[in-house]
Amino acid sequence: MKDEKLEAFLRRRLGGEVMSGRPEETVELCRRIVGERAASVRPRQSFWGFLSDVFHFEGIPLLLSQSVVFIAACLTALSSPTGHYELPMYMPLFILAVMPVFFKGQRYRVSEVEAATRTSGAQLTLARLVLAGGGALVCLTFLLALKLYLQRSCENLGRMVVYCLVPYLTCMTAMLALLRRSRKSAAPLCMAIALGSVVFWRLSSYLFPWLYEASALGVWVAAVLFYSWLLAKEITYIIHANKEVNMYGIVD
Amino acid sequence: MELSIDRLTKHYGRKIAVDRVSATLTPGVYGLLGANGAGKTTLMRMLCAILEPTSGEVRLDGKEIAAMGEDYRDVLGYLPQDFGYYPTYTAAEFLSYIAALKGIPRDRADRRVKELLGMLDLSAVADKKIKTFSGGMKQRVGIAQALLNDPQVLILDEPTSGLDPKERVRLRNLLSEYAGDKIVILSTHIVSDVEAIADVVLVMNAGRFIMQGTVSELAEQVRGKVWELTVPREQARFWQEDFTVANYRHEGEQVVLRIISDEKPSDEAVPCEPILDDAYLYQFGAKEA
Repeated sequence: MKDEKLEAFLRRRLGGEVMSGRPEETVELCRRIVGERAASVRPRQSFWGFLSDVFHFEGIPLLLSQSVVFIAACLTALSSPTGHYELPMYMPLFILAVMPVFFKGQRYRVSEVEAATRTSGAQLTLARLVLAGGGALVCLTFLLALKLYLQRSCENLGRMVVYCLVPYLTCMTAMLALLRRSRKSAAPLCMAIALGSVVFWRLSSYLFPWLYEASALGVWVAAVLFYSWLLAKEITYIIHANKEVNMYGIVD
Repeated sequence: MELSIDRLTKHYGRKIAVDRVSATLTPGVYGLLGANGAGKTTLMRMLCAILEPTSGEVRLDGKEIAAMGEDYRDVLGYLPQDFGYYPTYTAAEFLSYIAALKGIPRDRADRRVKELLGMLDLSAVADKKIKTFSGGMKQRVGIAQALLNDPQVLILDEPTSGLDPKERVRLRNLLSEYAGDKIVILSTHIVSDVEAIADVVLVMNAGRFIMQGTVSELAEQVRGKVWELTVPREQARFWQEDFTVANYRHEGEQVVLRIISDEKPSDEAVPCEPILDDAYLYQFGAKEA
């Protein structure tokens, strides 16, 4: 072996097994050790596999709580078949319904353990986000389908979609921003924002009737684009935080 | 495998929690000893990459752990000081949940969970909710979750708190057996825990390592400074006021004091064999320790 440093390294690691006079055998020994190490490396779970595991543990409470909001929204829709001012009011409630799952690590002081696992707080949040977002999307689709059925017309579909998206995106972005800042007060703040939003959207048709006129559609679309951009920024941050050892979430 | 800590520092505003700590850790058991507030937990959190250092770095086999991301967390096992759990989960469910977060495929996770529940004597209560467990049982669940991924770097913050003497002995044996070619770091303020299993002891005070070495090396530092003195019971208080008394033992009407002092405290005092406790008390004094 010509490289003295390599020989010294192997001597230190392998002790007496280094055979400096027989390089082929030493190389073979190294290959075997490297092979054994490689074989012992655990296969990595893909994100979708991880998502399935998170669904196994958290999917049911997440979907059940959203179902309760969905049923309440459907009952309201049935009682007022033609109006669509009540739609924005229910969207923050979808966030309120999933909040306990997002903040449970902090509440039960498990976030420190979760953050030190391979998936980390960031990937866990991302998986929860996919599940919560998927659940909300299904609920929203059925809710809008019900509204269209009750109205017997697709005329206001675009307006109803933006009425749902703006409050949902606002509250979701606020929740993720609070999680990112890792403040202990994040959960109560998030709850206050969601409840405040419910009250605001409930009163908005009385306080700002112009907001629900056809001419105000541009304001809604601009708001959807703005909050989608903010949400995309938050999600990008989570993805980057997961790739590096960046703290994400709240560790007391 | 080598975990190197290079001038690791953590400030909280003006308070310095960890102050330019450096060390190189190779496989073995490391005992981090220090009084409450010495900076042990802050240091351990930085070693787990869940707390960003103000300056300095930690490297595993030459790679900075901040850049390793999930590759580092993959080889890490961590038991925090304040171990939390989800009260609605059973022990087996909680371990399966953490196994999922550690990316262990479900079939392998099931086997590992059973194995660890058996190893930590929790098999009988595997399907009971953790909220019904005693403090020691909860702590054992915490230790089990740290071991799930068979970590190369195992960091345990106060692992023996809440454990009864039998459980503590079992944990010590388990960790000694586990260490082998892995790096095990455990923090405690109970000297006897460290004395029993640590290959190297790191003593921390005010955010710095003030002593490091094997148990015998540290004990050796106070050779000739540990004395035994037998005095009448009524004089014991006087000796305690003026000297660091490591132990106080009644023998009939007399009291045998174990005194740590640079000078021979009395003509009747006899030198005795030092232990790690003595070295610790010599550094900190009985009150501070």
